[in-house]
Amino acid sequence: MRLALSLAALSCLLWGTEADARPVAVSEPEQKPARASEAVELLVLHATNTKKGIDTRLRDLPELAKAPFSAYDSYSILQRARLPLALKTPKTHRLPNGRILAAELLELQKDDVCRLSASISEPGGTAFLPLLEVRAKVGQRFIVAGQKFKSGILVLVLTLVR
Amino acid sequence: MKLPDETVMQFHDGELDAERARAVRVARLVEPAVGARLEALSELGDAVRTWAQLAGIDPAEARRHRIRQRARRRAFGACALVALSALAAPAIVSKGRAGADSASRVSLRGEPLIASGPVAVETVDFGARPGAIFRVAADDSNQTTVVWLPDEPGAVAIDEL
Repeated sequence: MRLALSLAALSCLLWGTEADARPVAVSEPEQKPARASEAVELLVLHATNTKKGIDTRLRDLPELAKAPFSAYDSYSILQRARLPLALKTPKTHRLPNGRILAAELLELQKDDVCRLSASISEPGGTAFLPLLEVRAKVGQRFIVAGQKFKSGILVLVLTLVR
Repeated sequence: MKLPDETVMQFHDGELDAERARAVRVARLVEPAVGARLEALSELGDAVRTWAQLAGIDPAEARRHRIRQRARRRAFGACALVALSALAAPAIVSKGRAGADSASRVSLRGEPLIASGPVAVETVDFGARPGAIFRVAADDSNQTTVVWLPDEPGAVAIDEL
């Protein structure tokens, strides 16, 4: 009798162990996508009066056909760059005229609004545009224009993206 | 940088928060019209103070009365906002789930769509060169902020373009 009880207990134990060994669906920790960081998309254009027209890739910039940009009949793309922004960490980019454009994320505000600062300096360190602070929403752009370059001017189109 | 009259008046009365007050100060630096409007407000204030003195009105009491009225309006507005938020919350939540944030939408070519409202220039230092800030219409509803800084003074004057 005692032997029968022991066998019964052992079989129950083994059955239970087997049941426990079956794979159990465990929920994986939720993989949240990393928060996309803000960046400035920089488009460096060369505005000239060389009768070549506006580059077809710039058709999303209707501003170029309006004053004062319409004073130039030709626009070509010289550079295209993406400057990833980090808080209080300036990112720099060398412009075709040798000057350095620096952009920095100053503050992240609600509703995708950021405060940015930008500056343009000579290679030697002298400031051309010492400081520009703007408040922009993701998707918005602004233009910094006027620097002389090869019989024309540079037009910098800066778009805040994520 | 066109500032509403109300904002200029609030700045004149010291009623703006630090950020908006700084925006007015920057606008005053780059736009002479803002300075002229502030000066006009000062002259108007002088005239009103003189009139109040002649009419026997106590400006301090009038101001306290105005502050009390404003506090009552704000309290009422806050209560109304809370009530409206409670009523509108279900609709806002369901709408938020249905569609993506408008600011993060992209075009068919993967480029971000331009959010409404131009970029606000908070501070600018043009250094030794004269510069200008203005806006150009991108389309019927959007404007693009432009910072124009010529390389050589007088070489690319904005009014010559």
